[in-house]
Amino acid sequence: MSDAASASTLGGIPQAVAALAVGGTALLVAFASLTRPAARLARWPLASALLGGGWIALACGLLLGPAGIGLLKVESLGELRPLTQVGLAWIGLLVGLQMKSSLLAAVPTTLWRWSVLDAVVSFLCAATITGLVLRWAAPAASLRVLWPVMSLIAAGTIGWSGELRSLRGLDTRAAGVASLVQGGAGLGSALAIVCADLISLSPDGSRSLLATLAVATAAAFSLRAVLGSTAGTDGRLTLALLGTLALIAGASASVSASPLPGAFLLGLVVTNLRGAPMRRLERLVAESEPAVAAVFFLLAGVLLRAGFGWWPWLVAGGVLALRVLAKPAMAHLALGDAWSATGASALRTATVRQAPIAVALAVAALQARDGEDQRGALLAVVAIGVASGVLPLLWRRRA
Amino acid sequence: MPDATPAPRSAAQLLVLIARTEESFDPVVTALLDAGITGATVLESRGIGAIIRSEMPIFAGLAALLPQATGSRVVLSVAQPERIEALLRFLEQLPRERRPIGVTLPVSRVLGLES
Repeated sequence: MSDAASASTLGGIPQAVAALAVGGTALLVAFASLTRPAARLARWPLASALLGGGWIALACGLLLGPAGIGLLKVESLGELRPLTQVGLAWIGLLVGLQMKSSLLAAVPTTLWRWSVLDAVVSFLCAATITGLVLRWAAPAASLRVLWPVMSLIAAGTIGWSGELRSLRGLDTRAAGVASLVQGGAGLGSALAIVCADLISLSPDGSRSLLATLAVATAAAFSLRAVLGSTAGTDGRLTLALLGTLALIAGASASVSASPLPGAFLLGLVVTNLRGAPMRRLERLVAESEPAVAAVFFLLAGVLLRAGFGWWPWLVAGGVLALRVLAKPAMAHLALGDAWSATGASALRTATVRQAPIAVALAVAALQARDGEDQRGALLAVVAIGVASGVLPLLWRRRA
Repeated sequence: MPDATPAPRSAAQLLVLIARTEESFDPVVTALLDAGITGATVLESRGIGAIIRSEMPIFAGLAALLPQATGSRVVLSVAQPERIEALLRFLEQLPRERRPIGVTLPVSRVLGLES
């Protein structure tokens, strides 16, 4: 063995251990998120906002990654890719499981109108802001080069966070609006996934998307067949689900596509299939949401780096201004008197906060195609998320 | 002057069972009937975890539009101790994931129930 090869092998062992350590920490954070002390933290508005937005886990990841103590080097981030891919697939499944036909039939017309208005205005305005900033940063770049980042930031601007615990103090008049805000957050996540994966498609991308959707549909019916013939425990259910998600994540990775749309379709099919195992699966996935989010945001924090010039910060500033100015105005336009009746309730600032799915979209783009643009976009999305999460709390304190 | 004689202590007990899932509720109903406890009140319930989750959805919030049935139910019944004992003996033999949470309390007075 040559000296170079020997050094490479020896150098790889500590990094593999470091990757395992980060993976282990992610799982520890996941378990911690389900413990009583974590639940007790939810009594504080700030802690609710940080937990609900995933920011505590993201800060842990940032600390462990190349931008922090450097437990994991930049070159070794790929070793965490399988874990991140499965995390993304689980998130897609969570969003897809909302698409039950009975639930969609119960969505009031007002909410459909609000969600579509928000999706269209947010996407167009955010894409324009991002395009202008990128054109300033790279005057020679064509629209085709800039479009992936533009569409990513634009899709991430759709919707808002559904977490309302940090905005407690809602009066009884606002209860109906609160459920609309949460419902809109769920619809927004679904619309964001669809927009990110359909509007940004290239011809190659559409073939990849069709392939992953075909795998996901087959996987959904296979999952039902497996669970239908097994009077299994939650352990078996989890194993079958993990296998299915790993299949979708692997199929997506092999064609350099995001696992989000495939897993979203899996959730959509599963939730509309009949059978007690399907309902148990839904419950299992719903209960796992805090743990999966904790793992995912920790890994997103590890991937986060600064040093891409000013453009991510300018994009973040522009999109933040858009959220502050346009989101409450669109809510007022769509809901009319119901929105005005919320009075001085903190709920009026709820839609300013960026939806956590935006971070998932940015990480999915980074995993599909690693590059400075995608890393800058992740930085911008995280900056928007943190700033838009803090603003309502500051506004509430002043009020 | 009010009657100072204490009311006779009831021999009955209050049984409280919490079945956390649909699957764990079925054997509870069967066991209640087998033990001869035919009168019980069943309440749909939600655990505190479900309430916090509904206030802090991260990626999915659409379910807020419909009243959520978690499958959790609370069973209340006033019954004779020997019947409750027979019921609890049966429930203790169930697999852990299908076993409900149960408590019994002494009852000092009963109103509106036939003895």
